[in-house]
Amino acid sequence: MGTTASKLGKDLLSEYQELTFLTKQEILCAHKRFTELLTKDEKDLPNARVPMERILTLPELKSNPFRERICHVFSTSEDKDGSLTFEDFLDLLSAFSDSATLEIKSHYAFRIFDFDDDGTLDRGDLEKLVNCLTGETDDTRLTPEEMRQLISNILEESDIDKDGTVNLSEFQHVISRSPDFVSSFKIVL
Amino acid sequence: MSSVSEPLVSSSRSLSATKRHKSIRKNSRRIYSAYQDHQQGSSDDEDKEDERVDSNDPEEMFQNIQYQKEIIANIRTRPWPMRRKLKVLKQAREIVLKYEGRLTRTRGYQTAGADLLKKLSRVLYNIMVLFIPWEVRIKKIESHFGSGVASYFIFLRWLFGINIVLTIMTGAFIVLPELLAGARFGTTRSKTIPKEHLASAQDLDTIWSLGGYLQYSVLFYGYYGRVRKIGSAGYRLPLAYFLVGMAVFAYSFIILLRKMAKNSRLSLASASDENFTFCWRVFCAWDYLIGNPEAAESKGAAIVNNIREAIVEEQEKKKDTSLAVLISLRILANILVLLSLAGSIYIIYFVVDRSQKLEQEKPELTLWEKNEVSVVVSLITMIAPSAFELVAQLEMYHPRTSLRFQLARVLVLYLGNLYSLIIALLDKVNSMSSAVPVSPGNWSDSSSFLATIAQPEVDSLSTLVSDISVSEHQNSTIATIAMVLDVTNSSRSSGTISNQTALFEKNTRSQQDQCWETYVGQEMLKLSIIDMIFTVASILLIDFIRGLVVRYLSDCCCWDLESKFPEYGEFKIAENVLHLIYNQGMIWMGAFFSPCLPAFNVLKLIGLMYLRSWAVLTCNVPHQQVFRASRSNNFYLAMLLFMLFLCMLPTIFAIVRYRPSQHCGPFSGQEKIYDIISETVASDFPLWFSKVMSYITSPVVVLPALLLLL
Repeated sequence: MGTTASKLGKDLLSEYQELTFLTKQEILCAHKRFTELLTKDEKDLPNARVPMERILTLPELKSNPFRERICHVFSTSEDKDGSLTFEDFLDLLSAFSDSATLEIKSHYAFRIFDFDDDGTLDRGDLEKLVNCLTGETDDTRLTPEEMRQLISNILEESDIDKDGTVNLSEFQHVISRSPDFVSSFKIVL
Repeated sequence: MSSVSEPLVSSSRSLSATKRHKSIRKNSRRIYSAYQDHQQGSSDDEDKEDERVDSNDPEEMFQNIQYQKEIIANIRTRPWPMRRKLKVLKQAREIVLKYEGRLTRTRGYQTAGADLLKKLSRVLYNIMVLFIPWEVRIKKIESHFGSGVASYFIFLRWLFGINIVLTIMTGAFIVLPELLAGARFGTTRSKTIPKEHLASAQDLDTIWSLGGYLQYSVLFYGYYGRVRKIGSAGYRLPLAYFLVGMAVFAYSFIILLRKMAKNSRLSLASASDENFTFCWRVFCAWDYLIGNPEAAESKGAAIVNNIREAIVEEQEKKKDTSLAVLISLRILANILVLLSLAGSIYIIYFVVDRSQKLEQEKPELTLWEKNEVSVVVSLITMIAPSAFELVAQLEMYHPRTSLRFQLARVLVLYLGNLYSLIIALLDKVNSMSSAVPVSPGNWSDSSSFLATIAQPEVDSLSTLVSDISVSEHQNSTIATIAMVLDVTNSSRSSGTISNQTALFEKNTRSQQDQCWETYVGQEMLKLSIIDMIFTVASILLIDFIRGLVVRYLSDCCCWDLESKFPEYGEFKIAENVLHLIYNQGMIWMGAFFSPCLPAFNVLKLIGLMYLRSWAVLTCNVPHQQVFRASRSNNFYLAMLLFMLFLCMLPTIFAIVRYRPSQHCGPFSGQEKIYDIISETVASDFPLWFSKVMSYITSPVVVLPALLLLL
């Protein structure tokens, strides 16, 4: 199963509609954008895999500070290189779509923020997270003192079992209380 | 490894219990690494499923099939990669197909029906999504400015949808029947322009003040005929007018409450008091809709500022400035605000009063004097919010608190303006619809008596008698009555009558019809038009010119215009949303008296959408500071609901309190507007129905019902 050359089969289309939160138009639009990223030879392959650098040229992802993490999270490649097939791409769009549930979004948000993929957000993850948000230049970065203060405050607020890390359920508990999360965790093609 | 799949299965088992919202607890039961376990989990899944569907009992088979279908329905809510989802889907579908053949026929139809329904609803949803307007435009704004600014445009689009429905309602049930089947323009008295106005009816002046041809058209209440049934099918226009007027409010209520309920289901955070400031500022800070590098940079800077500020606040819990000075400054600011609110209310009342007096004294009014009311109201709505912002700087609150204060004050200002306007109008209406004290007015009444006598109507004499009983007893009145009676007693030759009518008509004033409903409708429409002009002017002048100045004059000027004053403007979300709400409130207030007002509003909203989206993309920059005024989307909807309720009240009050105009509109001749209902019930329904209705509305039934509801 997978996408054939340049057209999406009808049953596959309806199956994708079952399995994602996207409408038919959105799936077709995604297919169009995805095939634009493929080279000539790749277009004939079923299940073509697009390397991460090319995915990151999409304008919707280009300015996102978490773009590499997003690609890694949704990628199903064995090499863990962040490359995406069309189905991975659909998974991505489905999780970031308007009608996705809070649980799906918070689940994927957790995985995106988990930089070392160990299942919890520890200090190292949080530090990398904040550095992604604040940018690379020196005047926008936080000082080490501020960083320490910030991370202690975060852990104080969210770490219920006081093990020094934020696990999935604690994260989802915090996120579900936020009124802005669902509306900002969106990517639309 | 089986322990890994156990929670998976147990959580999928509980799917049937809680279909829509899985609670957080259930998710926490899942062991985190489950998602990393591709092959093992799905094969165990398969075994478990095979175990379950081995019995031949039809009922249990049906249950199993339903269970598989639930899995299929909920599969998209699982955070699995696509391959796994496809595999599970295939397995579930195979099981369903395998065992569905063994089902009895009725069950088969049932399931086939449900499948068809699902497919149909999906197709319909796909089609409906095509019709949503302005999708591309809003997406562009989202990518440049983030979801905050875009929420204004989404709200505008939603209001546009509501106004379209209102237009269809009023158009289809009131305007079209009157246009098609009602009496033509010029036939009845309420539809002709009086002679003295005919000459000036096409002047620009008259058109601007909505007089002349516009006044005697379907735009306003006064045009609609009072004939009970019109056209060949006997369409009951007055009844329809009343019912649609009420339906407009009812529909708005229902759709608003439905949207609020939907929103509060989505955001579970409404009741909670928990404050995860730092977590939210880090986890929920980024706006994934941003696709533009400039916007991303500015958002990043905003986040850093946000975090730094939170840290600083955390460290210094106490402020340095002396408490006494702070409190006195705040009291001063509040006093200033209250004064300005009171001042604006007074000004509006004064202006309406003055326009009323001017109308009575001077025959010719200048352009300014005619439009004074609407211009003053719109000026106040433009200027006052900026004045409030300046005053708020005295208070030195945290920016989020000061934004909330700002919103509250602007809301009170808008409500105060609308209410003082409507109260002043209703005062005038009061004087128009009750007894007429001015003697020239009496002449106008008499001329109308004669006009009705000239047409052979049965109830002309009865209106004569009733009007005599209503009007005050003055010498001139008695003389008029005597003359009229003389005329009726003598021959009905049109010659004598036309002589008398000419005499009386010469003495009439311009308000021959004294149609207060049309007047209210005119004022509301004028207000809406002038508000639109001012909005357009303010967007062009304030945003566009400012942008031009900053862009092209920054080379000439000594300081950097782009980073210090005046800078590029920012899009003020909260105030603009409030302005939309105010606009909608105006429409609700005037919809009963001017059925074409929703249609005008549709055009206004379209224009506003295009103008504002152009302005925001060309003249505005993304916010430097990100403070969301509302904790949830329901804040603006709640304000809209409040506005709807308050704007409904004046209409209800006018319906209940005032007599409908004598000579215009669908309810002329009745005591109260709502009498149309009781008349219809009495005359057109079978007798037992009206008896039942009178029993129901008697206190015997109403009181227990009220107590029960309480």
